[in-house]
Amino acid sequence: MSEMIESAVRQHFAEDIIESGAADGAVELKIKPESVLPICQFLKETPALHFDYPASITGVDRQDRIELIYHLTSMAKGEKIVLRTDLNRDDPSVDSVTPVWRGANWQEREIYDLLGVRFKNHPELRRILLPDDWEGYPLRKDYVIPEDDRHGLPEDWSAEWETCKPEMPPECRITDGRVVCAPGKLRTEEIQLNMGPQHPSTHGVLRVELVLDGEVVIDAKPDVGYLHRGMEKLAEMRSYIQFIPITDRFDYLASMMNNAAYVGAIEKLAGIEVSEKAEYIRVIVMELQRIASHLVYFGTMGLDLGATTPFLYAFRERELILDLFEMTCGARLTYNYFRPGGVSRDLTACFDSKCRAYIKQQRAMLREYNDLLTDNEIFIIRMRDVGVISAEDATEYGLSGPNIRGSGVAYDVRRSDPYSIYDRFEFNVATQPAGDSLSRFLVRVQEISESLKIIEQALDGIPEGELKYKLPAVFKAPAGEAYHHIESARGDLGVYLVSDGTPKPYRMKWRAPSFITLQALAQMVRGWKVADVVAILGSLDVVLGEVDR
Amino acid sequence: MGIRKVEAIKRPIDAFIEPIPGGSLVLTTVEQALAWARQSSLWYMLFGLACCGIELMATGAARYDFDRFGMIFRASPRQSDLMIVAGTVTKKMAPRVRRLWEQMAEPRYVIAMGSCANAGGPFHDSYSVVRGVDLVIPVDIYLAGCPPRPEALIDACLAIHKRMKAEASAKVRKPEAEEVAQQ
Repeated sequence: MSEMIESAVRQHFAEDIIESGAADGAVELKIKPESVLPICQFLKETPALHFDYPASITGVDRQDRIELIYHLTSMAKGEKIVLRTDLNRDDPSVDSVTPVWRGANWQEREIYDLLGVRFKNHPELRRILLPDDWEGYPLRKDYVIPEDDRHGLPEDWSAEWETCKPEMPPECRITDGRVVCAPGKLRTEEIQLNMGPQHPSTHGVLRVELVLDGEVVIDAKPDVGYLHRGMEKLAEMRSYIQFIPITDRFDYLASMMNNAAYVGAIEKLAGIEVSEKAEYIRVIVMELQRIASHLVYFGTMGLDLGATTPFLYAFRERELILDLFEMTCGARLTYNYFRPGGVSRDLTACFDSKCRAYIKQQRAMLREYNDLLTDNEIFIIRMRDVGVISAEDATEYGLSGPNIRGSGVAYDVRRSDPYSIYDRFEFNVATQPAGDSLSRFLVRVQEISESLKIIEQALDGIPEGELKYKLPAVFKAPAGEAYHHIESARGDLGVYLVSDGTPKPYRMKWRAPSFITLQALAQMVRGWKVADVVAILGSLDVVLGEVDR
Repeated sequence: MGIRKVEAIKRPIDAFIEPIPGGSLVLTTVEQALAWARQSSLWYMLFGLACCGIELMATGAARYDFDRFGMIFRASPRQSDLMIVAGTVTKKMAPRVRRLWEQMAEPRYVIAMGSCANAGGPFHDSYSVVRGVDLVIPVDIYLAGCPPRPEALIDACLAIHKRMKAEASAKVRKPEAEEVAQQ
């Protein structure tokens, strides 16, 4: 199949291909920058290829040039292709591929923000993670990190606030202290409403600029970056092992998944084998983490729509999972548990019995949850048919995880591109056809049961014996590149790791599912009321730590 | 079966109760009565910035039950007495944190929850992170941890209670309030 893809591209663009190869089961083509847009169009629009899913776009500063790497996936055919192109470092510019995939929009903006690549014909090329007035491109290798503690902070805070002056429309005037409009004219105008960054329903520090006509949303512009902590740059300043605790803090509701994606990329890069027992432990903790994350989703979804009790119920069961984690690795939230080749320590003796007791309780409580919220008539009315996104749109935006499965696309990395030992377990990929907020919710509720099944199977199958893994005092990955992706609680979480043979990563790119999901928000909320924005945003389950990185 | 005489439980308030014929009387100062009322209903602003925000949520939920200290979250800074800066403050977020703090009515208290809010934490050498929220707003209690456990957060809130009580007895106002008065 991969030869077929290459020959099909070569047939039309023989002169534009500089180099071709294969890595990790996918074709890799190095192409000329000016042919990026036509080749992408060809790849998407040729029915036999149909690369409809823009998985990840990465920029790497190679010091003499800037390299762009496009990871593309075909949902229907299950094929992958990697395109690479080199840009002039002094004036990097390339055609935007946003006309081909709408999901490329923010990924390109991020590269513009952090690496300074100009994308021609991009609909909105401005900074996304950093403030608009920021100077420099942090992910460039020659960027100097400001030493001054007060860098970026104003001297005088009072100068920060813009004074708010209400503007008088031309047809109105003030008579006797009252606003009088011209007779026979009822004045209407669009209102801009700021939602966030401090808002109880944005689940963190997301800001959404809503344009309203009365109570109806005409447009929504998500403004992200309020939690941009520069983690991708920090990866270049830490050793491979030192960076594992920082990965915990990307998606802080599913830290184990972040560990798994990052460590998986290191293992792929350095060719490290993982022991059988460690694989089972990893599956158990990852699935527990998925449930813990979905429980937070379940609770906050109810809270967003005004139901407080489900939140208390869900957090009660979540504490049991956190107890299991604390028993295993000593932390409640940030675990730092995975190591290249294994996990930091073995499960304790009583883990098995406690975990089984938890599974039993969770199964029983799930019925109660469903009585409380899932079958609640008010809840269903608030969620059904609200914020619909079709399967085609979801794919083109690059949605993943429960969000795309809520639109009827059975895309689950655990099945479509199996990693670890997921191919050994029986479980269903939960999907719902409707694509509305309720579907996305139901997918997650079903996934809790599916994860419980996987954990039971893994507990039964876990081999006896010692947990062995060995790491050298100074771990160095051989020079090269690796892309590893897993199914996190939020979707297709990918890590692109570039090594130059030193103890520190040369570049680490995080393909954050929440970040890519948020692009679709504007389309989903258009035409709905302000209160529905809360329901739609809640149903997408974004975590701002991962959006902003 | 006779009625057993139950001995009165000794409560902290008993020290202030003075029995008089026909009832009893509590003698205290206005400051102390106010401080008692304030510390019994320390409403905090719902303001989770990052990972610590999840532990803040967990503290408010079933097992740790913040409500028993009279602590309820408010979505608006206008109704809050306490700002728990739970997470990393970035340079883009700093003006918003400052503004929210300015919108709170006095007396207001600030807990810097977690290493990031204390000094930048694991991100102290990042280009976009403020190295401690005390560069932006004055902080009353620094709470260490990454993230701090819910028990630690409760401890920090009890420390705020103590501080309120001490301020009432010493009849001093917070230095922050003095600064404002001088302007």
